Amino acid sequence: MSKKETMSKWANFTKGFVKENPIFVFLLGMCPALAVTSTFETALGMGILVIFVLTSSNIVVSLIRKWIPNDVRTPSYIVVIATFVTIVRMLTESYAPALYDSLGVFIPLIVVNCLILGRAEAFASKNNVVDSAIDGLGMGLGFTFALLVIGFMRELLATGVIAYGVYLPFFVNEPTQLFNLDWIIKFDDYLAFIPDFAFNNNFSITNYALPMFSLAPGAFIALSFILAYMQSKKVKEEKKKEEEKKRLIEEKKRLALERKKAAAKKRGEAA
Amino acid sequence: MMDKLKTALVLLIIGAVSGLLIYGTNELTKDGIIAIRQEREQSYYMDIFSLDAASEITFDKITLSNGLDEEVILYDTTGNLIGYIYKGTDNNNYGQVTTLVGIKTNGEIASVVISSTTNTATFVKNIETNYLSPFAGQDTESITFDAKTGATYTYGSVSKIVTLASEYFIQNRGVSGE
Repeated sequence: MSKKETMSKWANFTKGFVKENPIFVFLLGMCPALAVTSTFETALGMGILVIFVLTSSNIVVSLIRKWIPNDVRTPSYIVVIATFVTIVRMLTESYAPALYDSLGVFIPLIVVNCLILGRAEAFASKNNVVDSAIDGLGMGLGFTFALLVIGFMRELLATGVIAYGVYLPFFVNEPTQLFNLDWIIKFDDYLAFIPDFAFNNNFSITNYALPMFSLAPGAFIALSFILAYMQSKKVKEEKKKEEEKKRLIEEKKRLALERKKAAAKKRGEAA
Repeated sequence: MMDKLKTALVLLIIGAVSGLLIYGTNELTKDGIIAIRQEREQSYYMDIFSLDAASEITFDKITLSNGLDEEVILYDTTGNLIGYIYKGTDNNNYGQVTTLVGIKTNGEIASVVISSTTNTATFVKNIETNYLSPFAGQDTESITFDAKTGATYTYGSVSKIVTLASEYFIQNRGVSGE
């Protein structure tokens, strides 16, 4: 395999993370992005399910793309996607019942997630199996990354902690805290050297949590902050590129003028 | 003609393979799913009669055909009767509501819970939070329903099952609990 091919596969894999992120850039699959990201763990659970469905459906669609008549293309893709979603639903109910209860109707709704049908139509139906699998995996990971960012922000603001083990029964025996803001409570330990310093000892981060972020308005507000940040970054980059382009043009103009002047001088000397 | 046959054949193959995959997964997971559903339902039984998680219960199930799905007769470990639970499923315009109605041996409603539903989650949560608890403590012979909320689909389905459960209890079990 040539270096160019390897690079293009790597680019194909990573494009979904930031550059073509399904949620932050294309705004695809917004329904689960808003509905199941009230906690970090449910966001992770939905992300895992979408990765499985997206990668599997991309592989199958790519495998059967040459046999499917054009006029029944979309219904065929829907059947393929629905099959994987049904499988995922059964497996989740059997092995992660708490997650199944928590995600509820949003598991069957993966069937109509624009991202999955979109990748089947736009990529898997036109590319080979390996590339389609890489695309599915990369886009799925990008989707999961976006859900995790939203879930992390919402849960932290709503409760002050990031919990794990409540819905996903993997790697831990009981619910645990992955991250919390309790260190703020120990703030006075760090500043004990200041004479007569007394931080409020009754301080608890949960008193300052914003439960609204676990509800629907919180989802929109969190997403709007993230999208605003992404957009400002994009605008800055474009501005930078534009300035660089202008600077290059100016530089070229200056060089051309210098060459012109040098030529004129040469001609003058010769005369 | 051949094109149409080819299309039909391709769709048939896709459908058949999909069906086989789903059948295989169902075979693999059905026992686990049934066990989980039973476990969940048993935890509801404990909640309905406010029993400790540590306490052990035994129960008999009787299949019913009067609009209710089944009657569960609960006993403690010494064989004493704890009470009855009636399970009923009602279909409304928003989908399905399965309700469990717990009735004590003296005819008092212990608790009412929605064990599963396909109704709109927000409405269900509202009913669960605000309108199921008033059933607890009411006598099966004189149940008061919330008139305003009674017009909603979810509460309507719950009310229907509560009424059927109460009627069945009065006719077949009476206040003696026999």
